[in-house]
Formats: sequence, structure tokens, C-alpha cells
Amino acid sequence: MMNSNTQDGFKELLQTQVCNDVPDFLEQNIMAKIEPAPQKSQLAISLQSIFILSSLASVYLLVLLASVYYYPNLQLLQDLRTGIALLFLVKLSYDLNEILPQLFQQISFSRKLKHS
Amino acid sequence: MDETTLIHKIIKGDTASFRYLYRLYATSAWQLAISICRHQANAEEAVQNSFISAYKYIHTFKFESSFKTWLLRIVFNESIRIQKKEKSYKWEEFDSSENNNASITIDGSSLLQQKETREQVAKVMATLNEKESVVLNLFYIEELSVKEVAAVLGYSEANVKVLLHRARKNFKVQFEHSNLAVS
Repeated sequence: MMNSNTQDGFKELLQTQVCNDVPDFLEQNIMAKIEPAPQKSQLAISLQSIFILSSLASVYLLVLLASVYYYPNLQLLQDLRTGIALLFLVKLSYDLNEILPQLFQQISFSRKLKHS
Repeated sequence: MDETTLIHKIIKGDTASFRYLYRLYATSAWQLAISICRHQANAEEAVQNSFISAYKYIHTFKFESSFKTWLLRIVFNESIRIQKKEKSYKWEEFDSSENNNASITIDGSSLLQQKETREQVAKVMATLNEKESVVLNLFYIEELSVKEVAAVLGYSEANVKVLLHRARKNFKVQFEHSNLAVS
């Protein structure tokens, strides 16, 4: 058995099959999958959430004032108030769901650092 | 920059080093995937998945073999996995019943200048089964040793030698059949 891959004549013929036709997009696809996506700034998320929540709270207060002092018998205002309160709660729970795990992770990480 | 330094950098999360490594071995990975899959789309999937797996598990690379051998082993497994999804496909188990160690030579050097030689060789390669074309690809095109081919395919060195012998014989028969070679 010939162990060399250079002396039996096959190499010359098979080397004609060397191709450089690897699709260009493969490199981009692979790199896109392994490169970490730019992370949203934690501060930006918090500011956005605070802005939305405070806007909802302000609108709620306005509707509350209107429904108590100006139109106490208007059912529509009370329904609107309930709707805004629900929106506020949904947004708050959504944000807490994102923020709390990170917060706990940071707390446990800093505790680990303290102990080590 | 040597390969070991590159790998250590990749383990630390340097994706630019991985891009460099991809450019070094993309052609070899592509050659192997296309010789097993034989369809452009499947080969693309195999190469893409293999490089992503290689990046993900590069920390498990033990430097016992060359990185190329390790990577080609991943490409080989991934190509087989993708091909197995095709209903009719079966990567047949190795049959070592034939064990003729006589050397086989071929003379195609006078034909290498001809424009159509590349196409003729490609046609002959397409008539071989996947195992034969893969072993010829790894041995002659990628220039791996028998030991490295055995590591990529997961066969013993003896089985690779038998497979190589069979592949050479079949290639020669098909090549002569197409009136392109004189032994």
C-alpha cells in the first residue's frame, strides 16, 4: 500500500477539483450567529420604562381628578381610569419580569465576590 | 500568528480570530461537505452548522490532533446528519472484506492542460460512492495522512487503507472508461 499521496498520479488529477466556490454569504451568516448582538443599554430600558409608567400615572391622576370633581357621574371616565390602571399594571409587571432576574443575578454575583 | 494562539484567543471570545480561522479552512470544509451532500443547499447548511459548533465547543479542543482534523470531523458528522434527514440516504457501514494492497497508479499528467479534464474528473468523482469520494478528497485534495483521515472518518487506519485502495481502483476504472487515461 502506498502511503504517500504524491507519487501515484492521483494527486495531480484530483487537485484539479480544488474549488474556491464557497458561497460568500456563509462567512457573514456564521459571523452574525457567533458575534454577540449589541446589548441595549440597561439605562435606556429603565428611562423608557420610567417615562411610560410616569405618563400613565399622570393620565390616571388627571382622569381621577376629572371623574371625582368635575364629572362624578360619568361612567366613561371611570372605565377609562380602570383601563389606564390595567395598562400601568401590565407595563409594570412586564418591566419587573425583565429587570428582577438581572437584579437578583447581580446581587448573587456581588455576594459571591464578597465571599471569595 | 500560529494556530494555538488563535485558538486561545477564540476561547477568550475573540471573534476576529475565528473569522481568520474560517478563511483558512472554509475551502476544506466546503470540499468535504459538498463531496458528502452533493447538493449546494445541504453543503451550505453543513458548513454553517459545523463552524458554529466549532466556535461553541472550541474550548473542548485538546490539541491532540490538528485543528483542521478536528474541524473536518465536525463537518463530516454534520454532513452525514443532514444527509440522513433525506429519506433515501444511508451512509453504509464499512465493508473490509476486500483487502488487496497492490498499489494502483494512474497517469493523467498529459491531460492536465486540457480544459475539459476538470469536468471529466468531476464526473468520475460523482460516479463513486460517498465514502470513496470523501476518502480521495481528504487524502489527495486536503493532503491528510492516513492517520488523520482515520480520525476524521472514525475508522481504523487499516480500514482507511482498504477504502483508499478501493476508491483508487474504482476511480481508475471509471477514468479509463471515459478514455482519458492510460495506466
